[in-house]
Amino acid sequence: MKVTKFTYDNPDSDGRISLEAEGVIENKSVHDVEYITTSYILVNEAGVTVGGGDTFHDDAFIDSKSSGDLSLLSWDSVDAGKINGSGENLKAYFEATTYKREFVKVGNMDFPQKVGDLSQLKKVVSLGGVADLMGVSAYRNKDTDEGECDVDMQIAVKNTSDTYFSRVQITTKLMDQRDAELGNDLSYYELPPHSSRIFTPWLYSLKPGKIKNAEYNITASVFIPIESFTVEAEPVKSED
Amino acid sequence: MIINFESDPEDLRKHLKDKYSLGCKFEKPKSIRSKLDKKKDFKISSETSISELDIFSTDLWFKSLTVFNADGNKIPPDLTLREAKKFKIEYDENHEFNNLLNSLNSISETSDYSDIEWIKRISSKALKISQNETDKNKVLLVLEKILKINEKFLQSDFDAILKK
Repeated sequence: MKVTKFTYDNPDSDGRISLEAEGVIENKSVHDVEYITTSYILVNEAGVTVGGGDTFHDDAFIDSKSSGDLSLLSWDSVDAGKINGSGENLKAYFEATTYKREFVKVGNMDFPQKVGDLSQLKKVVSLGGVADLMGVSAYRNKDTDEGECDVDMQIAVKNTSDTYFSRVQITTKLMDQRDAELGNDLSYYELPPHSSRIFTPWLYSLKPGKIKNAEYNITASVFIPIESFTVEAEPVKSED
Repeated sequence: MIINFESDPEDLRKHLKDKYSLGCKFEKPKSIRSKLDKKKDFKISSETSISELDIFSTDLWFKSLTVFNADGNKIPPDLTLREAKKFKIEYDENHEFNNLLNSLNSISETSDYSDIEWIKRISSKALKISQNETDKNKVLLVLEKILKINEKFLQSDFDAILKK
């Protein structure tokens, strides 16, 4: 990773110094990068932390054996008093991790047609060999006071690896008998090594009259780390 | 929809889903805020921006709020809810070329950059996948700029890229 731009402005009327940083990442792997997490720490002349932040780039896509640029720091500022009045007294440590995406079609499952019905997807689905999706259940509770279907849906994903996943994502779509979409849910969480997470997809505003022969379509994605980078940089005065 | 300190965050989630097909993820703070923190009502309309919603709701309830589309992509903060409803990230066939050209452009701004091999890899690939002469010329222009400002990038490096 190369920091290609790291600038500071003069202090504004509130005494804050704006910062901006950009970088370029090379993807040397055989996988496409589809997700990047970045973080940074700002230190003053004494090497003491005066700021920092982190973000995720879910719009990233860097082809295998290719390079791409990304924002490392934006919309952030530091109080001039913390850095002796000028951005030249600042240093930053930037970190980035690239991820490939493992996408899996989990399967289809009937929508529970009556109150008290339980639909189940009775299988353990491997997510790229690094996590297991332990089946899916959907239990139909009595309808809500607004007359909408209330379904308690549970999906567990278990991280069977030693790797920390920054994102595990489950997408649930409900299709009617004519294959028109009645609703969808997308949920994602971080998943530490050897831990599990329950996903509870919730589809809003489903009227009982519309769900005849409806079917869930479930997919999952795990974002698996490829490579991590750390770079130190000192800002220069912005030309703007 | 109007939200205030008495509103249920789940109602906001339902509203964003029903009206704008957007999902949201929020992290609630550990401590309950004092009622002294209560703010005025906040009206959410199609012209409300994601950043306005973020600022108000994090003041009111959350540690953080992320709004995303049906593909799970985070909505840029400057978009209004009306714009966010249509927000979709799509990569055209020139995506990789544009990525490489942008990377090369960014690197060309730094005169002290020493990893010449990386410059060679980026530019060779960009030339290889360029679809036409216009694209090729864009790459060559950046390389000429790098040749001019970066002492470590030599004419022989330039020639080696062209030979590939």
